[in-house]
Amino acid sequence: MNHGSGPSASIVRGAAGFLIFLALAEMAVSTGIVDVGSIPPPTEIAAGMFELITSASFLAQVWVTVKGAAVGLGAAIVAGVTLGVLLSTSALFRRLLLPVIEVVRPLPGVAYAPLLIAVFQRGLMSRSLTVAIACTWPILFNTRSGFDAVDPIAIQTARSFSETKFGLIRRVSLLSASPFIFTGVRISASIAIIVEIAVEILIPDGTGIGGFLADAGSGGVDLATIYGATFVAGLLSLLLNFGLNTIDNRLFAWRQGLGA
Amino acid sequence: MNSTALSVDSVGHVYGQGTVEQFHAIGEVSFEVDRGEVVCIVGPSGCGKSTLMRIMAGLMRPSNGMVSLDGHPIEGVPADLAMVFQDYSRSLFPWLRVRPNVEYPLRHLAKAERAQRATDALADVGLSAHDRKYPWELSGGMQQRVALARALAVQPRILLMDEPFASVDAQTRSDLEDLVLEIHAETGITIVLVTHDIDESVYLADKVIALSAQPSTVLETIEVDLPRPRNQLDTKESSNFLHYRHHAYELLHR
Amino acid sequence: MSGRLWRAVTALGSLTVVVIGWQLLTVWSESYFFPPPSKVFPHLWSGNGGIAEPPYLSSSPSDLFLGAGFYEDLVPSMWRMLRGYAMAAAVGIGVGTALGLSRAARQYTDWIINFVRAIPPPALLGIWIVVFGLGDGPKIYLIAFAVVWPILLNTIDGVASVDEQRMQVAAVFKIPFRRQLTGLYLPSASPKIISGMRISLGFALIMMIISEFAGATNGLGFRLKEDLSFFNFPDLWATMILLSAIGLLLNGLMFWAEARILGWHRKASEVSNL
Ligand SMILES: Nc1ncnc2c1ncn2[C@@H]1O[C@H](COP(=O)(O)OP(=O)(O)OP(=O)(O)O)[C@@H](O)[C@H]1O
Ligand SMILES: [Mg+2]
Repeated sequence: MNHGSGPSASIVRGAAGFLIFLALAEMAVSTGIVDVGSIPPPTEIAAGMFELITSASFLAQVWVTVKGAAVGLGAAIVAGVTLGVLLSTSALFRRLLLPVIEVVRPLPGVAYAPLLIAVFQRGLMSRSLTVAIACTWPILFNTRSGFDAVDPIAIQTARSFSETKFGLIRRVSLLSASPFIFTGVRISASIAIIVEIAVEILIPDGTGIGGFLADAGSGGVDLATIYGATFVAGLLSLLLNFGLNTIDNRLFAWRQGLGA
Repeated sequence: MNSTALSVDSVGHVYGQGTVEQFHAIGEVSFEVDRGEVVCIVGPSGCGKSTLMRIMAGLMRPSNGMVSLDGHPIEGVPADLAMVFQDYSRSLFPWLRVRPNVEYPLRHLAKAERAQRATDALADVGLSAHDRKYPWELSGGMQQRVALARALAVQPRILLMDEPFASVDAQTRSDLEDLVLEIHAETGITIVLVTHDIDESVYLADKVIALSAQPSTVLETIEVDLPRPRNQLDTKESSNFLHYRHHAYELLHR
Repeated sequence: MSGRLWRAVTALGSLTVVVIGWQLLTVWSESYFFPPPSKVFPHLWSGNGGIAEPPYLSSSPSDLFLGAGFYEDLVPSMWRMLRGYAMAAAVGIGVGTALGLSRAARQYTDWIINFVRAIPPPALLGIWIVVFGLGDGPKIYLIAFAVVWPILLNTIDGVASVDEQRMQVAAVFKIPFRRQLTGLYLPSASPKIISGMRISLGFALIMMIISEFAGATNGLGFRLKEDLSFFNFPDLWATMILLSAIGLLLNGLMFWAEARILGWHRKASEVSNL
């Protein structure tokens, strides 16, 4: 009766499904049901991935991507939280900034890339600035919803201990908004990798995973390696997701107690 | 001719059988419902009344025993059966207005017939004026009347009601009780109604099935011999009513 | 009412200040990268400066005020975006409903979905150009691949969390499965589905731009790239302004659609929150 309900059952089924998927793909490709020219069998892709992961020159490109995304995300955290706090705590800032934000926000972050590349040249600066712009919004808006959701009783309690306005923001509001802010960071982390790779592709100079892929696409590199690099990028964002999820669960276990 | 409509035969139910969270809800329950009868099931909260209802409706299979309708074992929801669920806020469809809610089970009928049935059912429960509202624009008692109208519109021969009036105020509640009696008198429909209110069960029923706490068994089947038509004042003030009430109360609070 | 008026006035005021400040700063700095708005806005109508790109708008009423750039870049971009988005919605809602209905199917596909979803979509652009060629295909597939996930996951969640008692209602009244799908599962999941579609629409605009960064010969993303390589900054800014306007318009459309489709939901939840 109870088949497939426990957590272990869902892991077993998840893994089984994944393996069946890989096996089917392998069979489909090697028996020629799918055009062998376009999709290499999973085993070849895995071999390609392994080769890439053990190659120092490719790892250097992975590092370029990671660095660009991380620097951009870091800047976005600072900018997003600062702006979010200012907008949440000051009516003046809301008055002045919200209308501007309303017209600036609809422009996708990647659209800034050409301008930033023109101003700062290709390189870490232009890439991570584009990432930062794209990643600021989710963090900003989550910070604001976090502040909106602060329990008014917590604020009154803190007030009754004659907490200053700044202390209140720092020790009460910011702390209780932190799970929301972290959610924004998690959303932004996936965006960071996407935007970073997109900018690498825009003006390919062979740097980063995107640059590697753009180069490989235009000449000579076999499909298994290209797919391999693509899946390495996937693995990267999978690891990032997993890491951030773990941090989220560890850090914000207390949130459960709030029924949030 | 055999007049038994529904027969519950040694039904028992265990949730999550064979797991650590296994929960023995129903011990062993047997009773019979005759055609055209009103039968009330009373019992403490959590004793498995809703579970029993779902089994009788053919929505789930019991772990033990069986239920038959007109002599045939129930496999799946029988034809001619309708049900009013315990939680009205989760039983109506909030994206439909009142009339489409009532018409929802009638889609197999021609349009005119469907409209006529909904009109009649809404008139029966006194909601004709509200058929263009959304359920969430109505009070709790009105929503439960919509659920009742939806059940009546399919013109069932047997109507199951799971604590239909548990979460409405006392005034509305007695009005709804009288509405059920009226509909029963008019249509002769067989009704099984779950309640935890002893007064309500005696007032409505020809037969009260008193259940024990879980794993539940039938404490006693009380035949209620009060004259119909009944009404809130005369019936509830009669010495017979008080006698049944007293008896049931003692049974359930032992 | 006067509060709303006052807010509109301050909003307009601060925007005016921004544009004036932008004008003053750019005129003062004389930076090549930051042309003043007085040069950028006219550029929407007339493609001068640097290599001439076709302007998006026209001053001639007989052209309905639409320029060559509208037909050559904006329309192809939006058409690809729309097709990618529609494909994502169809697949996301279809597959999501199937998976939402069966827990076993959800469990078996959980790892696959998480694995495939983790691939950063731009990383596929290169291969898909190789595989699908330089036409609209790879761009549409890329957009669809990228934006399908919010719709898929929200649909799964919405369909899987249909209220149990409502399912019993459908069973008791012997509603055929197909009508349960259209009458119960989809309406009940619609708030989640629509919220997934809103997230995806914004994302589709981003992916439309990215998909034209490589292997494209027209479109707004292609135009951004061209403007960069020819250092045509007035046109770059004009295109960015156009993209903002499109983003704003899409938001507005989504807001309107949501209010129309989910009117019942918003009001119902207001009532139950009382
Ligand atoms: N799906 C389920 N899985 C496990 N246990 C269940 C399930 N549904 C109900 N139970 C348990 O079975 C018991 C009987 O539940 P049921 O809803 O039938 O009680 P009830 O008599 O209708 O209660 P109430 O008067 O509160 O409506 C309860 O203790 C409940 O916790
Ligand atoms: Mg119950």
